[in-house]
Amino acid sequence: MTPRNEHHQDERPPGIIGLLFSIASRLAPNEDSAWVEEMEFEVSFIPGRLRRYGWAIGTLRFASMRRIATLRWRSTPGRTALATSLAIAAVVGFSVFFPQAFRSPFTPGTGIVVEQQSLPETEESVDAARFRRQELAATPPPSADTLADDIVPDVVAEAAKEVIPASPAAGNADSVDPVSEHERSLAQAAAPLEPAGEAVVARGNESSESSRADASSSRPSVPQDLADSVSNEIGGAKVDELVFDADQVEVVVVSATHLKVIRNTTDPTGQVLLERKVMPGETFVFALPVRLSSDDAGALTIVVDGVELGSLGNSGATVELLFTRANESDPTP
Amino acid sequence: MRLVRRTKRTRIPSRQQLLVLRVFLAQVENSRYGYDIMKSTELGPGTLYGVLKRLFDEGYLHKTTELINGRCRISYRLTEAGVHYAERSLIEDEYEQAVKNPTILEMES
Repeated sequence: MTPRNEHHQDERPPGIIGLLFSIASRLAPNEDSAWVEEMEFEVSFIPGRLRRYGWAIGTLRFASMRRIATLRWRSTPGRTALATSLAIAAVVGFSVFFPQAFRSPFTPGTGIVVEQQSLPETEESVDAARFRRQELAATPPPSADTLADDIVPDVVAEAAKEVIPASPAAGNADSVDPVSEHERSLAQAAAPLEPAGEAVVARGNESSESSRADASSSRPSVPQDLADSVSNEIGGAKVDELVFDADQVEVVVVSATHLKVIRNTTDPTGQVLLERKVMPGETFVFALPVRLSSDDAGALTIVVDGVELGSLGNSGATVELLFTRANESDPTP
Repeated sequence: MRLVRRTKRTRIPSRQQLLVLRVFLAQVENSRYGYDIMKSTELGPGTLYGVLKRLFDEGYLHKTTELINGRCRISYRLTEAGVHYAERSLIEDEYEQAVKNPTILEMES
């Protein structure tokens, strides 16, 4: 017999390949250890490092299969119960150490409703969303006069007609031609939803003249009858606030980003409703008030009462906002 | 009391096993190394050595340990029983393929 064992001890390949062979030789049953040894001998004659890696992984697979083949499992009630218990314990342990894998997007009783749209997360959908954003960003923004005269009054009238049909503004809205969906999206993309410094709480039942005056202010793209902004000091940081004349707000994900939503807007350590990476095509409906933060403001679009208000800001910009109802516009204690 | 004689179960050669047997039958007299067989059959090393072990355990394979430049290398060769087994397995496989696909027989005829 050739001195195979001595050779084996001296010539074990270094590095990861040697480690894989070491694991394989320990894993293989005694009657099959000679075959693992032969495969280890053969690896020194294989050209190419990647091929040697593949050979070592194949050796490990061979040893694992031989080990599994030697296991003799006879099903008895006790063993079945033991196996079931171990499986349950493994799942519970995994959920304890990796809670992110088991976190459901829907949390009962927290007022958050997650809608997975029919648009699946595919490369085509992501590309389509990215292309739409680029197309909208490439369009030159309309001037303030254009917005005030043409687009914004139509949006305001359309929103007033949809939200509060019994209001006096509804009669004026009938005489205004409806704006196309494309023009509306262009106007919203041209001026993202950036909260201004002054606090003006507008109501949906105001006249179209007052809405026209508000719309010509510093934040032209936001329909003033649906949302407004103030600033708050929460946790030592200045956080902008959006005041909505609605009970809930809909957040539509355009591109993948990290989203965190907290229920208690006045408490930085409030109840976390959602904190994970959201994907394009997902839609979240939050009952107000909530605090929202994301690392890509352009990836999120706000919809209130069926009216799309545009993105939360520029693409790639970090955003943190308070969403509150109009009747509780001062959430600070 | 009736005695039932247990016969040894005959294993139907798998597709991988037939590939290896075909490689060995191509050059019956020559020994083949594991890496060479892997290149010829395009099987993974884990699958290949599983087949080699099965053939060796059934007495169809002969191993030779060589010392090349101070390094051990194992070569494999079919035994006489292994040659018969390989020929029979390949013939049976061709017959089964012909039965499953009669167009082959028609084309050959």
